[in-house]
Amino acid sequence: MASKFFQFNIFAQCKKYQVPLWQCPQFLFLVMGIIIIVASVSFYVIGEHYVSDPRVVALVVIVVSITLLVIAFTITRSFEDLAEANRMKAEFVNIVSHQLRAPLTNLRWATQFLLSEEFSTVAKNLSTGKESEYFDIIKENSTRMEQLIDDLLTITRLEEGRADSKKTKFSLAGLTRGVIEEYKTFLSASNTSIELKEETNIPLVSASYPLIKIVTENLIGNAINYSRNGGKVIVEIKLSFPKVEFKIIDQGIGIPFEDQKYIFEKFFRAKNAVKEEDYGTGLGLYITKLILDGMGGKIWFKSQQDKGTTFFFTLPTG
Amino acid sequence: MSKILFIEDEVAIQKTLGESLRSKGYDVQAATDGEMGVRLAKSGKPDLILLDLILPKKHGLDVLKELREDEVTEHIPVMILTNLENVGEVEKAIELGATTYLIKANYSLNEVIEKVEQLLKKSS
Repeated sequence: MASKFFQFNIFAQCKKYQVPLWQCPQFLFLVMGIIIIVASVSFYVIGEHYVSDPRVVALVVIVVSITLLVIAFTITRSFEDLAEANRMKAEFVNIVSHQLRAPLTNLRWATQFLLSEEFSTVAKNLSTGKESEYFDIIKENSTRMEQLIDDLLTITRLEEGRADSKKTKFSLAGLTRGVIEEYKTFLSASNTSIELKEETNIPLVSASYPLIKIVTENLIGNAINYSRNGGKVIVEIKLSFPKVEFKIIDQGIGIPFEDQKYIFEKFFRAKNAVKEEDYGTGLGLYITKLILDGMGGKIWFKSQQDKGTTFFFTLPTG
Repeated sequence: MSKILFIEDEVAIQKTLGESLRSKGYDVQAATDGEMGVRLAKSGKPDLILLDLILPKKHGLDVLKELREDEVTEHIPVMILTNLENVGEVEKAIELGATTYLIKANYSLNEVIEKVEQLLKKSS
């Protein structure tokens, strides 16, 4: 009985789809129905009174037709939006299941292999210590799983406001220099260079140092990861009064236009990023935005597929 | 002994499953991206292809499509071996001519080896 009633409760259905009323097909159909009824009655009344002047009737018909056309167009669009939301949901489950399963499968299979009869056969032909390759697989995939769990815990802490968000005053350029230093080995391994350009006399920013470190690590890590071999990354830090602006430019794979609106969503990974680098969790940019929103900052980007991406963020000064 | 082409970019999976099959006497050739996979399938004419879906350079479903369109590779059985469980992807793979679709996480290493052996027996 309750579910039958639910079918007629348009507001409840629209709430279920998580779309505003003006984008909800059921509500728009109701509005269109009401307009048609009102229009029919109005035509009758107007026809009765103004039948001698057909221009008035024609004008009313034109206005009503245009209104109905606009509503019909909006309904079609809202169906497209709902279909897109459904597609995104399926994609989301797909990526999450893949990201969680991949390191676990690797761990399980590597352990099973080390314990198997086949391994003893293989081990005979291997030079001493070669089994360490399989222990490396276990180590690497445990780290991958750990990273995923760390990211999820960071998100939970941030969403619940329990993260280490105590604000201090520090130099954003100084923090960035430290992060670049940490990435030195990674940079030379990926044959990528990085240049830091900083304006003089930039004021200190007021934010949580450990959280902003996560932000810069994520952005610099992404820029290197998605740069092609031999690419160059430029970081610019300047005063954009009254805030300090951080800008990171890469010449990497870029973000496909159709994926750009989802880039800050939890677990989302652009199609070309998945192709390039299988290991990402799809959580880095979500965390980055969450942190900056909580620190009174702002993040945005511009990107062109195969050309590169530039991320910007601002932070309040101390 | 049967020839197997293993198209997979995860080193861990390549090593564990690849080595297990080699120790059983199979001639296993490895491809670490989609393009390399198509190339080796055409030149090596394997008896079975194990194919991952998320691959660098060419997605697994595009690899499958290309294999099915080429007369040299169209009859080779293809086992999809992935951790993606999207109904649409499973259906598309079967529609494109995949012989079977396995979710890695649902199987132990031994179970996958058994499936490979069954498939090779069936196709020989």
